[in-house]
Amino acid sequence: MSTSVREGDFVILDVNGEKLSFVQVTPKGKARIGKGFVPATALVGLPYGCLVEILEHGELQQVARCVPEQAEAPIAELRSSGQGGQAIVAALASNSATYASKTEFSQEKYRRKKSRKYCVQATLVQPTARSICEGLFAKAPMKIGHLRVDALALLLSFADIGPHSQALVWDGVGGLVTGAVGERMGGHGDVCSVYTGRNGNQDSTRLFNFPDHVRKSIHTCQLVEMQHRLDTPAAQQPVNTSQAEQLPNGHGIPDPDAAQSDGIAMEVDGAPMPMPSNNTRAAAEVAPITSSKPQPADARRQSGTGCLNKGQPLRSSFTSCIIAAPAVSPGAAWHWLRPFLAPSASFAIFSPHMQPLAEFMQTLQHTKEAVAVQLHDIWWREYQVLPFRTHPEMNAAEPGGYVLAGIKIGS
Amino acid sequence: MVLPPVKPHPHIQEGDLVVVYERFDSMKQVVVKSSALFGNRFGNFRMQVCSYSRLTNPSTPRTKILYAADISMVCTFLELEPGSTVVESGTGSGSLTTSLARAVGPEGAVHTFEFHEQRCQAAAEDFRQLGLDSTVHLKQRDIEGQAFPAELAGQADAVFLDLPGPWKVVSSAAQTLQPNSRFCSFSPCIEQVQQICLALSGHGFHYIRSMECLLRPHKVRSITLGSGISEAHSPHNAGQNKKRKRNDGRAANQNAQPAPAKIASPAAFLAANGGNSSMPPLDQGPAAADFLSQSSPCKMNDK
Ligand SMILES: C[S@@+](CC[C@H](N)C(=O)[O-])C[C@H]1O[C@@H](n2cnc3c(N)ncnc32)[C@H](O)[C@@H]1O
Repeated sequence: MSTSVREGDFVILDVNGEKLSFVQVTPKGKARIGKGFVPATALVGLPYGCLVEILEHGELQQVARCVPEQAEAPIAELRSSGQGGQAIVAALASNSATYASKTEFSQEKYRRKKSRKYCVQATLVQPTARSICEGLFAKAPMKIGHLRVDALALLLSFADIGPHSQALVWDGVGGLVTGAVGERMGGHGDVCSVYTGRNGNQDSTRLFNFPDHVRKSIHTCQLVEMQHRLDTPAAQQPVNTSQAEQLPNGHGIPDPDAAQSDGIAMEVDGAPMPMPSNNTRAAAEVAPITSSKPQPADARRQSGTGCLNKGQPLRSSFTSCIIAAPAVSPGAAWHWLRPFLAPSASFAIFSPHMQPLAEFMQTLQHTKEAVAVQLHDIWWREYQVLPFRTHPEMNAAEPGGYVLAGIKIGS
Repeated sequence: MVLPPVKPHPHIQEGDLVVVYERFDSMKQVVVKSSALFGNRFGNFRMQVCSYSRLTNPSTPRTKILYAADISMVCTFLELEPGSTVVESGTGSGSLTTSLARAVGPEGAVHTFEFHEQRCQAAAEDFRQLGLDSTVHLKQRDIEGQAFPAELAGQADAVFLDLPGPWKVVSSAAQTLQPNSRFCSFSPCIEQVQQICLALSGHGFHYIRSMECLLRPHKVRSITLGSGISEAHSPHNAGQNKKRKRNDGRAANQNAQPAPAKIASPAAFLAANGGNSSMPPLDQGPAAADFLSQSSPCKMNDK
């Protein structure tokens, strides 16, 4: 991870702790902080984690974080010393005749209001699985299948994702899960991301600022092609894909991506992300998720590492599996992916609904294809912690979804 | 937590620690010796023919340990990656340590400190057996009294505390961390959380968040729902009387309206919140909960 912002990076701007937005540092991009805009390139070289604000003449400036003592200084002095708006707001509050008599709730409201006026500041947050998931969830939870960060965390743990795994991922939420797996594996071992239809939308993986070696470890594989290779001896594999394309209907492979992909199109402030082109992508083509620039075909084909042969997943080769495709039946997904899982592979399946997972759990209990099968619902609550004023956050305790996890056993 | 060997190998070898699942949900740990027998309720087996599963954390808890929900949140909010350096205290049973080691991999390092001598020895033995001794660096040390060693200053990508008085260690944690890196403390009581939060904001940490997380296990069983009226009078199921009766007492609600549409397909799956009486109710108060306080330190790199 780079410690400072580089050209081409995605950066998450946390504005006053109230709003998260994504910006890509491109020559044409703009970063919006409150009502002001600066060229996105103004962020280059700033350390991640730092606090910035836009000055009156429109220049971006890094500001110090307010330490409690500074709240005492007079406002004019604070302004001229460039201390930043936090100290001003604190001083305003302590000077206000009515502030102390306000309820805690309206004190908070007062500070917010003054902050918006005097102190629009943004923290440059490094995109990680954690921050990207929270950013996307805050923006539009439907677009990531209501996969909250606590559910994502559990999927990674239960599926035993880490360096030297071989991970098979069915990511129906736009690339967030594939990216999170790539981050945990850090280029040690392969990530194979399954898609259906013509092209899987995995745009969110771009938000991770992956270095090349990680990007190259992430592969996309079309489900139809995977199944086809599984049934066909290596020698007679046809390159023609039109027949293979028919398989899904005959076998009932759903195409959730086709239905969802419009909804998942990412808007990124200052840099709209291009949707994957609608060109027919040959099913045999397996491209590491690198830049959208075309590459020589040879570079795209990964020669046989642990779990892939010419870019295609091998039978019984994956040690970890995550299925986060809320529109796909868990039983169907398991049916397609199971042959690729090694004995003792850990798997974890996410759904915002319990019923499909409960039914599939019962199926597994009968087929005895897995052990240590657990169905959990996920619960998470944040707290405001202050002396004598500790309480759960108001809008917390929304349902977090369900995870079914287990360990595949050999047949 | 499921934990594979550092360098996984596909076949069981002499001396490997394996977890044997005997049934859907019961497991046993075995160290493989080709000369020995593996005995269970189904009889004795020669070791060579045991089927195996991935290694799971083999420690029997020696202290209150962290479980899946906490562990996954800690690893995710500490933003661990392969190659990261994590500093932890106290080690306790090592339950979290093994997961930290799994996340940072052989390319990273976990420095963990425990002041209790026996726990320290037992954990060291576990890490050795798990093949983690090159990743996990365990030392016996009183962290609240002596702070983290000076040579770790500025080294850590993340610090994790599970100590009775974590606020005493905050200043040392701040020195141990790199700029813009993560801190997490785990406490069972809200009073401890309050103290640590105050200490954190006093030491330049920002983005302090306190949270509670929980996993509720569910069991699944099939039940058949009745129509709610006496079987003999139901117009819809003359042929099903025998089968329905068995379930009536348990599932049918006597006050319910007849629901002919459901009678047509009486078998329904039900996911019941699994009769696990030890699970706290959803609206449990803070007193029963565990808390994580996470934050990143504010150490500005001046331009
Ligand atoms: C609750 S346990 C930690 C459990 C651990 N997180 C796990 O998952 O297994 C707390 C541990 O901290 C140790 N401890 C308490 N005070 C300490 C100190 N001052 N320095 C180092 N370790 C300490 C205790 O001996 C105990 O083993």
